[in-house]
Amino acid sequence: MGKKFLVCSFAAVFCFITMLFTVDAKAAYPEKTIEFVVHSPAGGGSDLFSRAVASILEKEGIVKQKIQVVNRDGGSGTTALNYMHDKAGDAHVVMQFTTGPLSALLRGSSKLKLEDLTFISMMCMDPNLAFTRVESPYNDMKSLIEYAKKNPDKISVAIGTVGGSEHISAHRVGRASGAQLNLVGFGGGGAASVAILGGHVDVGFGNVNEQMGQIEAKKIKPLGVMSPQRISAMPNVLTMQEQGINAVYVQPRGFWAPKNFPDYALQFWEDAFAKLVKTKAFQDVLKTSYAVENFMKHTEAKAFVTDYLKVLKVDVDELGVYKKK
Amino acid sequence: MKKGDRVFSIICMGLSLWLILESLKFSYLSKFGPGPGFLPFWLGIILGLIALFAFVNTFSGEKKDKGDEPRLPGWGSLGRVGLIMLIMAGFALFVNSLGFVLTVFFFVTILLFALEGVGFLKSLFYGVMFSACIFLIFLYWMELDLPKGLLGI
Amino acid sequence: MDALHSLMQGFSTVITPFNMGMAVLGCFFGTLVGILPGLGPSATIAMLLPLTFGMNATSAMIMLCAIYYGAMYGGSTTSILVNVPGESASVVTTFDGYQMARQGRGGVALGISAIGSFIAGILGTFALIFVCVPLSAFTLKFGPAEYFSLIVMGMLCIVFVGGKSISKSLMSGVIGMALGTVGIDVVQGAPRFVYDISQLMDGVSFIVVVMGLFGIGEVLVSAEERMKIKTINVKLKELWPTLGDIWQVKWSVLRGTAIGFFIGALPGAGATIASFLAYGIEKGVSKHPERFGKGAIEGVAGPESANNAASSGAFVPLLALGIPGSGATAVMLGALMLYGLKPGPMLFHTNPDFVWAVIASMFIGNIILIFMNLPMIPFFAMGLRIPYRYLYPAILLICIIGAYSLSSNVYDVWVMLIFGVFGYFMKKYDIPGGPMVVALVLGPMLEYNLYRALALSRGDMTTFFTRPISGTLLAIAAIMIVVVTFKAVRMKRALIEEKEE
Repeated sequence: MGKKFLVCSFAAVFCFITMLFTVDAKAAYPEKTIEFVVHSPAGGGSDLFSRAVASILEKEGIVKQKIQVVNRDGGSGTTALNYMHDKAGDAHVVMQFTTGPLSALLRGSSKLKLEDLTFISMMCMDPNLAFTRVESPYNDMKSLIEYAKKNPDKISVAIGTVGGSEHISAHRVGRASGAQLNLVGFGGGGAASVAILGGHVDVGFGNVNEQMGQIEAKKIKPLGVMSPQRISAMPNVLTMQEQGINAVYVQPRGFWAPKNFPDYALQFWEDAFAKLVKTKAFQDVLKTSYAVENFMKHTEAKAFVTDYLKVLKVDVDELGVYKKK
Repeated sequence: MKKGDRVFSIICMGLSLWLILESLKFSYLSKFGPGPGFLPFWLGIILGLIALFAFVNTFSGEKKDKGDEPRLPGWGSLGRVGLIMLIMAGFALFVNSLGFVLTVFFFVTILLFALEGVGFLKSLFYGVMFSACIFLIFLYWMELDLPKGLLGI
Repeated sequence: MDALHSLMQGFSTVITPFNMGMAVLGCFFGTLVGILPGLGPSATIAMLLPLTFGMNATSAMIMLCAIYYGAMYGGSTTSILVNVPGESASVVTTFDGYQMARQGRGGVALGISAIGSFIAGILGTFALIFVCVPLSAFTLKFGPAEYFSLIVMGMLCIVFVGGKSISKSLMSGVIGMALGTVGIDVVQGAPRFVYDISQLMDGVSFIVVVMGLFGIGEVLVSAEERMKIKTINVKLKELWPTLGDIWQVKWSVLRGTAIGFFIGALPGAGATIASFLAYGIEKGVSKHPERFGKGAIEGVAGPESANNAASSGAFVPLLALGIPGSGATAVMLGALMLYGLKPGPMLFHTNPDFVWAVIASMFIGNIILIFMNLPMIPFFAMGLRIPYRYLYPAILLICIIGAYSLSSNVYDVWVMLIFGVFGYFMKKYDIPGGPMVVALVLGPMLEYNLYRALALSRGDMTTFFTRPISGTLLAIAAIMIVVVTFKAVRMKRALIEEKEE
């Protein structure tokens, strides 16, 4: 029984290996399942975005192979970056990037450097906003900041994780206006929303997408948007700059690949994402998540993110968030 | 019981010292409330106090019956436990290079053959059965993201 | 009446062949993945989410809810049979469930857990219909100070889940809290006890610790000697609970349901705390607390009902406020957005058909699950008759797969192995593991709610006493401490008198 199986399995293994070597790699890229790496655990915003993109790419026939979303969560993006470091040269690994992995690059907490990554494309920007509950006496950011300037630390701000996007937004508002705000870490967007709805905290920062339901139900009102322009979903809400606060923050989303990603693969993915952006299904995803399309190819995307990181570095340094020596 | 308790309370005292020393690296207070060093510091103090109390207690009080005193088994059994842990450590070491299914095969075969005294062919058979089940359920059907390794399975 | 009418309409939406098929499929997958330790409900839902792409929102949500419930039902199976919790909410089930299995009453424990879950699921869904909106308004009153006081109450469970020696329970609890401080802290983002290991930045994973301490530790103790290994004598007559068993735990199930639903409805508290609290309450009200930890049937019924009721409760903030109350509902919220719905307080008004169909599907899901689970119980229970030498490699493998698939990393397997060794020695020296895991869950919550409450009150400590809900909770906690000490003293006295006689 055992011997027979052993012979059979050896034969099978042999056949399999010969097959692997005879297939010409470039002939039909991609020739096997593609990994979509996500830095957040299954179910987070980034994860769902990746899963939606993967499913559209498959359904529209843009990518003929299966796409498997793999979650390499941990260390606020560090684990995923380390994974990309180990996958150098692999033509079948693509990773979505957004604020988390970008700040991890700044912190230098992973083995990977920005130069090690092959940029594929920028996809979209998530707009952020400042908000409070409807019962609050403040109707815009201007009046809130005026109060805060006279009463240092009286205005409490719910931020998510330390050094996260809400923290950066609040910090930029504070820096630009000179108001002293009482920033309270809530660990995540959900807990922060509850604290604001319950009136325990004065103001919160967050993704437009997450707050839209509350805004439409008139439980929460927007105080100002952090984008450079107003958002089409809420044309009446002023930007911070329009309210005299020189603070801007947007959350980029795009894809990159490991070091030494082959040129044919880069070409393939640039085209694939360019086609993806034109599909109705993807436009629907953008619309339902209030994200603004901002498609850029390889070179542009790289330049954009490099600049973005330069600006972000100033904030991260000022915040004194832990940095590896 | 007494000896075990004594060792445990000494370990706890060591831990408490470590907690207190580590906590000093961080700020004790933040702007209004506790800082990152606050909780580890007090945990260290509390652990140290309880451990000290438990340590002193092991010297006093009535002698318990010898019967229910838990103790470590003989060296033979400890060796078995150690071997199981070693084989599992081997699993963790090799799983990325060998792939999950193959590692399961070696794991089960070695465990049964070396530790349980199951015959060689029978161990081999169970090894194949286990890895086949794992492959079918977790990789083929549920498509879990398990390490693929050499053979691509 | 209005609600009932809407509910009936919901039922008519659900009872179509396709939607029923989705519910059955979801229950099946959910139970299956729930049985596998490590992968909890939220990971299960996320993994199976792509299956629902292309369906309409209602069918998709019916399937996701079914998966959620299925995972909660399945989670207790491995806890009871092999001492490996399927997910964090069924950790307490190991305390008495596993002991019952060792006494050959594994089938009874599984049955009670399924029936308790069923009753809790049905009652929880009724509660969801009638108190959803007012309850959600009440839960919003819970700020950081209130959560802090609630968790102080929960911390008392350390004493309940510990062994005979109070000092050893406390030491174990403090070590658990210390483990909870590992990682990036919430106040300043400082890395505590990380030592440049990037995985430690997220802290020590609760479920990995539990699988190591309880699962691997137990295997090591049982596999110590080849001679000692013998199969558990599964009593053929006791593969299912009797009506008497069920009647015996009726109050435990109801108490578990009530506490579970309420805690579940609090955003961020969750099923795990609910199950701990339910266990503490069961042991507290029991006339024979000494039976707990040795196979008390109430110790299975209470927590299992609580964790299922908590999963119904978790829908309160999701449906009424549009805020996820737990990891699993967070994934559902994300999914709702992908289907183009806008979760939020308006959902009841803008998409009533959808909401009521989902609620109706919860009733149907629970019914499907009880019919799916009860016939499987004898097979699971009989599984323990497999000779241990073949069983334990399988248990170890299941633990490894569970730990690995948490974040697809061998690192978690190593952590589990280290805690397995700890678990072995702790078992040998009678150091209880329960307090450690309770403190590991509650410790971080205690810390960051303390910090938030003080930051919001700008350093004013009186906030914990002057806020009415927080003050009440602390008063209850104080009363509980007095009662527990009183009980402990009385028990000790009784013990001494017994000895003297």
